[in-house]
Amino acid sequence: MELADVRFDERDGALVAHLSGEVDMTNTDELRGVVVDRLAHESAGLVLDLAALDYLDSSGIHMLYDLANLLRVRGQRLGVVVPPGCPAESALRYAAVLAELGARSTVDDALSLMHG
Amino acid sequence: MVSAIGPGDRDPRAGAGQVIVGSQGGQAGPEAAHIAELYRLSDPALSELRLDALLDELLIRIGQILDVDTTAILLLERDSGDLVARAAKGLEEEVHQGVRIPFGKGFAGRIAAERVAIFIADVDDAEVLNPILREKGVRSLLGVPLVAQGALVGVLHVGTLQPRAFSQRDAAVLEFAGARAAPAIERAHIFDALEREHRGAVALQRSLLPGRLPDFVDVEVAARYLPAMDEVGGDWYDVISLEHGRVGVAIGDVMGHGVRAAALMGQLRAAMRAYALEGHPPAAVLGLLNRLLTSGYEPGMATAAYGVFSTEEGCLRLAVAGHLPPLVVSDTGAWFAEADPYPPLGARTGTTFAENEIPLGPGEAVLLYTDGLIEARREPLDTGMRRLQAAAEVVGPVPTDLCGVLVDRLLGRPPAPDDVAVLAMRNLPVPETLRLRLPADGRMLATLRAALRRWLRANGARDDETYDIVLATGEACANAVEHAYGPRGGALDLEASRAGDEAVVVIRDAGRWRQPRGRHRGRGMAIMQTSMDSVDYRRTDNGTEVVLRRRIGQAHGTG
Repeated sequence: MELADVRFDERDGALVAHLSGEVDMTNTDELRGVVVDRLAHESAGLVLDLAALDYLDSSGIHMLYDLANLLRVRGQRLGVVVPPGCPAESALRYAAVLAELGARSTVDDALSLMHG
Repeated sequence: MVSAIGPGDRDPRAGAGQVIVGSQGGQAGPEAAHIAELYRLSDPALSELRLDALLDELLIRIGQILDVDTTAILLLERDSGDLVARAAKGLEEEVHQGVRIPFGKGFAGRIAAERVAIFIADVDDAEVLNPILREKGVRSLLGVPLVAQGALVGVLHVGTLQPRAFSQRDAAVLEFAGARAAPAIERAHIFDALEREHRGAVALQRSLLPGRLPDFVDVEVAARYLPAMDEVGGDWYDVISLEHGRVGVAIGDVMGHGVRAAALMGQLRAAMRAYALEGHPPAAVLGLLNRLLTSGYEPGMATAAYGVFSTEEGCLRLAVAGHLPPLVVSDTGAWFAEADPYPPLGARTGTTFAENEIPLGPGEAVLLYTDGLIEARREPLDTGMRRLQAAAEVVGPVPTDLCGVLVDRLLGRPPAPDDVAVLAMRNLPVPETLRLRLPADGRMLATLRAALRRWLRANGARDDETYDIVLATGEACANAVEHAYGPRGGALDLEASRAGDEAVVVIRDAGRWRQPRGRHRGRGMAIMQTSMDSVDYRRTDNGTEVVLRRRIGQAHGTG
């Protein structure tokens, strides 16, 4: 994929996707596809770890909402991980969507939310 | 009407109206007055001429000696077996129209097939295939075969517009001329073929090198290939546009010369490009190429260097396989970079290469080159390298100068004995005001972000400030990309400048203003408003302007 890379691992019955690189209007569709393809039906949900992203803009935020809606329909949950001060956290803060997306600062936090 | 010459009887092999003239018929030989004339045909100066010039010169001299109206030479084309008109005087159309005479047919075809001189007293009566001879009103013809080292080369014939009974002497003169001309023609022919082959090989070599080099925003590249004097070589260069705006640069030299070396070069360049585009780092790319060469795929060896440059890092990561060290050139000096020389590609199996980090600050350039640039006979390599370094210090870091005047200065006027490839890449100086004009296309956003980041850092912006300004600018540009233009697209201008402690970024498009709409764009607007000190929109007749302002270089906690 241009600009961004994804590394997956499975933890506590959920899929964790660690994103790196940059997310903008050119790669959100592909990124969403890669993540959704990987998500098993029986998985509790998806944790998107955005800690290592260098850039995330409003089209990336749009993708987060898209994924949240898609997972809700399937009865799965989306967790978003943005440690304070990382670029993605700034973007979510400026767009005032941290709370709405239920963003957490660690993967463990996001995973506990998944089973809560 | 048919005229026989002297005692020569009509040969039973001759067709209607033709007389075969055997040179055995005229023992008298050319007159003394003509002998000097004939020696003009063996003038050593003639053998220096190229084939076309040689034929022209021969025909002019033959025409003068025999006092005829037309002269022509048809050469045997080996592929088709046809005789093809190659040079003519008084019958120029024959050459222009590329008249072809099948071997064994007609006047010239029979001269060639039977290797005998033929005289036609009256063209109207004879079996002449060439319509131009008739249209011109040529009445009498005399032709001889051109034979060199026992092989037929072509046919030489002369003609007159008035009926003329060519004498035995005329036939002897023409045969003598043919005998002098044939070996020279054969020599020139071989020379021409070799030169054509050389030109073909050079053209092949050039076609294996990159055409237009890619454009980069903060990096300027130039490259040049100079073929060797008399043989093609296996030098190459390449510039590869990689992900994240990084620049891949390569130089290489296949050992050996000739078409084989050039062909292997083409394969190595393609393989290197493929590995590089797969995202392999430089050391891995050379390792893979070495494996390719040692796998028995294609025997051969090459020295090479491949590096990846990123303006964000300000550093070239270069791996080297037996190649000469790169030269770094700044405004104030030039020095060779430390580069561990691993074995050449193909030298041994399983070589693991390492990368050298070569710092390349804004304004500095790196020059990659092959040994043809610095090698001179009877001179240690060091001397050539010192000469290169001294010349680069004078020329400075502009890539087109390094590939232009620097190379010209080192190589001098005549073509070099070895081929030469050079490639110069410069990390461009950071301008006081950054000005970019890019197509309003989402794919340009990453390029634009990288250029803006570099400018902000050079202007003392902190990482978080840089991120905020890049994010807000990205949103403004994305808005223009999505809404300013119809499907035909348009351009986007970005200007970043410093006003006191503020960075001012202006994003301009020439499209129609469209109110950002939808929650998605609304978020983009929110991001711009909250991350910047101010956001202003100006709608003009020419389009839309967004002005972002943000203080930079603030101590933490006050920004």
